[in-house]
Amino acid sequence: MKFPPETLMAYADGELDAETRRAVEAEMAADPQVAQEVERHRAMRAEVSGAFAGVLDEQVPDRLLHAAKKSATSTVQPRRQWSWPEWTSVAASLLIGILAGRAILQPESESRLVVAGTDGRVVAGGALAQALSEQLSSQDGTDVDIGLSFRTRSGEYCRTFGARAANPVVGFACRDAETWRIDMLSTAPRAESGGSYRMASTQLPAPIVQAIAERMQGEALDADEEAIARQRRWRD
Amino acid sequence: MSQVEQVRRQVVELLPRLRRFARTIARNVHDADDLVQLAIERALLKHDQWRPELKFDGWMFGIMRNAWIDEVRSRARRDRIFAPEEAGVTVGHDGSESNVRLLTVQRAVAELPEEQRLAVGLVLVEGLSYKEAAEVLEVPIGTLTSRLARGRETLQALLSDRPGERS
Repeated sequence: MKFPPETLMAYADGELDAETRRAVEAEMAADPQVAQEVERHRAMRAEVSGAFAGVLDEQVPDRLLHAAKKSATSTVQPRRQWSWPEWTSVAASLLIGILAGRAILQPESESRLVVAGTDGRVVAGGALAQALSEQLSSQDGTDVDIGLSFRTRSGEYCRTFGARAANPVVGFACRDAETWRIDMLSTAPRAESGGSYRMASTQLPAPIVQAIAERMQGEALDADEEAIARQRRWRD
Repeated sequence: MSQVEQVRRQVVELLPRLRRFARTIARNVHDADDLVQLAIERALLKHDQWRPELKFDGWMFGIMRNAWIDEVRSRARRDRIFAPEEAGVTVGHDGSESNVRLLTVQRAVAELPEEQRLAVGLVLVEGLSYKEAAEVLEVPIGTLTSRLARGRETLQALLSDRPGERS
């Protein structure tokens, strides 16, 4: 046989240039074994393709249509879908809690992770502020995990986080002068059963994912870019 | 139309094929649809990485392949310890002779080593060119070709052992 087996396969898959194709065809005409080999490849292709063709006629599950239209969280099971009204009511109740001076995450006020800043802004405090400034996404923190870091269209650095606490929270914060302004915060989606709680950007509730997608400029920072940004204290 | 809306629209159009490709990667319908869902979410999150000059199906298949490697694969493996599944028994199931053969082929694909399975899924099932498939898998075209050739050989061996009946 003149051609290596992979060339005959490529012929059957329509991958050869015109010249090689003609040469293979000449060989097929001259040698029935070659023709048979090509036919075997074609039959295999048709059979494998046919075995999965039926999937195209199946009804697409609603959850997938929903995911495409709404975006969603990506913890595979269970999937908690958040609507905006739900989110805003969570945010409002948290804010009320903060403004009333109640400890949100920790009973001891000095270790509070979320505090009311000046001008009514909500900023990171304690271990959360520390982690946002110092911890790389690749590092495992004691109290806080950092998911991903990214820049917004206006050039701010933002980072997603998850805080382990009695009631774990997730969200993202953006660098604002010397503080980390918390732009979105929510109770954490339920951790995967059996696994320890580990924050990942993909486990954020849908509205947060969507807000990040709308604000992110380009891609999330990679490890090197993140290290450089940290060195510059998350400023230009 | 904004970029994210364009991506959404194309995702919806591509859903049947996304499910089909997922079915060649994952070994049961449930894992396959979880994989599709995860890929959709990832695609929407990084929608601005898509460029109109990229073929949308290849871009999505690449995201799906990475999602499989990162997340679903390990979960699928873990779940199987508790609930062993009949591989590949997924499409059409009325017990007729032609359906038995379909299931035999699906099951043979499910038994392929992962690298061969992905090459077979992209080229033979999804009809991508070798070049496009190599890009999705982030390998040189020669690597893709040899995985595909080995995949076909393995299938041939599996299927000639059991021409009609599932063993």
